[in-house]
Amino acid sequence: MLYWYHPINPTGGSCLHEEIMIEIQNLTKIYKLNKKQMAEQKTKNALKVAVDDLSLSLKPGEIYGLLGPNGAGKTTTLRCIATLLKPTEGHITVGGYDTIKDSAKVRRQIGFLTNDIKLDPQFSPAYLIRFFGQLHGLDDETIRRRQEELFTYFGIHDFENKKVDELSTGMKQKAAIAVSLVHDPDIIIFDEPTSGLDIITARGVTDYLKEMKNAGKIVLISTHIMSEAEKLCDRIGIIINGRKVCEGTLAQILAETHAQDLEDAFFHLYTTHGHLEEEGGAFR
Amino acid sequence: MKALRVVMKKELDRVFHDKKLVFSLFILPAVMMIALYGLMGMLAGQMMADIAEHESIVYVVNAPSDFKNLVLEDSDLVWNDAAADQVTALKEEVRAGEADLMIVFPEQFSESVANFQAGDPVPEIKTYYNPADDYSSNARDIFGEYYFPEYEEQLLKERFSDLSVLTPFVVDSAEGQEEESSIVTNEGQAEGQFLGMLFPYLIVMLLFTGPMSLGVDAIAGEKERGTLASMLITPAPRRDIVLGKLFSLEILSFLSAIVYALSMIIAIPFLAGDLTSSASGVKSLVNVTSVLEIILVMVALVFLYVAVVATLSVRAKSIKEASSTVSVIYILVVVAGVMTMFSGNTDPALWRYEIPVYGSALCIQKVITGGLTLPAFLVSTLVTLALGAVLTWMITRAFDDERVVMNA
Repeated sequence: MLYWYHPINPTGGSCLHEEIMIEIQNLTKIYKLNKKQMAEQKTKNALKVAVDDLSLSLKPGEIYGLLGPNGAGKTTTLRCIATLLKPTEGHITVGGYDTIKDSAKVRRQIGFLTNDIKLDPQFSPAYLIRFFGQLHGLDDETIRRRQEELFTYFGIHDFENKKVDELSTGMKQKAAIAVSLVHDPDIIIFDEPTSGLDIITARGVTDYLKEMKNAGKIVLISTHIMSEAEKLCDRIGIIINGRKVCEGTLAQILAETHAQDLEDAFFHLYTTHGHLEEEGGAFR
Repeated sequence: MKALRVVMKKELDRVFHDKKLVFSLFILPAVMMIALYGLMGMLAGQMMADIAEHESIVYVVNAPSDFKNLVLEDSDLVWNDAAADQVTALKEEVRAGEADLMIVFPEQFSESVANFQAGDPVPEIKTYYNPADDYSSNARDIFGEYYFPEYEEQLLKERFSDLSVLTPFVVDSAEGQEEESSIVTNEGQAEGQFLGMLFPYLIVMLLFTGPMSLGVDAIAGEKERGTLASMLITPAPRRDIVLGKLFSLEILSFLSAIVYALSMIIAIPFLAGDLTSSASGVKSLVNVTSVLEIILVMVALVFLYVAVVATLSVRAKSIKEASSTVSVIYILVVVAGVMTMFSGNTDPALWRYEIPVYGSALCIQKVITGGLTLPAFLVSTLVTLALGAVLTWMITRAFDDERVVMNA
């Protein structure tokens, strides 16, 4: 397989190592498929490489976007950072802590949101933000203050005591975002944060992420919405078949691929590196 | 430990903040059991009263006059004398429910009895009744248990004048002294026999219903819905998350079992139709040691059940998969309970108490019948707790395995 990867430093100079808050070194994640999964994916190979030798460095005060088709390995990468999955090979450090050896300290620093991790439908947003605040070890006063801030920002007060089960998709997403940020984390990792949201709510979320960036936090998102990545991300990494094929600012990627916009650039890279085969699958 | 308390509180809130769940878990089963048993008792009582009030229609062929007098002086049944040529037609009437019983005496019955010599054939009285018909069956029982024996005694008196010649000895016949002279038992032991057969089975079975309904949803359900992972991305130790869930399940399951057991105690007298007999059996349970022993056995059993259900649920990829495997375990639990119903009065060997669930059921049985020894109690309880602890340890380990908790 042709592998084309040009690491691009957005600042044009070397990064200060002590500033790096997320460092992924040669991450490889291989899943073992059972017979049912092999049949579903029409393969005889019991091993599936979800992420292949991926390296990334993220600094405070930037929004980094992971772009890739379904099944490219975006969510697997984010789950490895969030300590939900263990790398098969390679290392990840978050805020200087190893995701394997110091997983609890890593989790203390991150706010993680993904579509397949959901809020308990039997409880209200108000109950859940208190519950997760307590699990993060926050005192009652801090939880109350953060609840007020986040619920006001995302407009959750109107439905804060309704069960999650009774909320619309947009309300659920707002509540999930607020709950994931209750502990005011330094690192925000959101998997498709605007998925399923109406344009106004989506704008509220992206504006909030910008505020977080301006507050000096690291924001790492995965998305396949090109316009969102163009407007929001300081740097973009494009992943195809588990490998990072391009990385840089929007301008650098467009220049590198001679494309008019990110969508063109993405298709250019996809046709060059990707197998134009089925999208989706058991693992992402 | 703070995280453990937080998770535990949430799991308890899930139930106690949901009125529908509280109703379906704790109130409805109790109401249903009492209502159901009460209804069954009432219907059975009505049926018995109806049978008792029914005037049996009896046809008798070749009836001896002394037998007719014996029956009619003490009965309000409808007596019909019939001829021998009516037998076939009367059989059809019994079959159709138009007659309840037909009795056929041989011709010259009284003469045969009076002139009986040793070696002669014994005269035979034939009865025809329909066992599927309650009225018919009851009429046959009355004659079989009362009138025929009395008539037989009357004829024997005529033959021997003193029936003592036919009675070489009697057993426990001293009236009014039976309880003192014959019954040697611990207080409550005799009354406990009925509950001793029923309760172990009910307790080991009912204790499982709580973990089965709540445990599968709390673990496999949370995995399937993606809500478990939301807790795993917090810094809370995974051991605390697991234990918080398990402890809350144990509390809920224990409460559920208590509700079932109390409902049963209240409901059984309704079914039995005799409030005093079961109540006296329950008395055997009401002493501090027995109650403590039963509670300890139940706590250990709930601990094991929750661990078993949680182990299967955490390994399952879906609620459906977890439910099907837990159902198999439920069948084994029922079998263990049923085995104690037929264990007889012998003292089981100590090794039997080492068998999880069955050993606990035996303990409960022996507590009720007053025969539980300390070694048996300790062996059963410690084995149950040890197995539960091993499974709990395995579950905490499983929560660190991404293939298990993330289905990866």
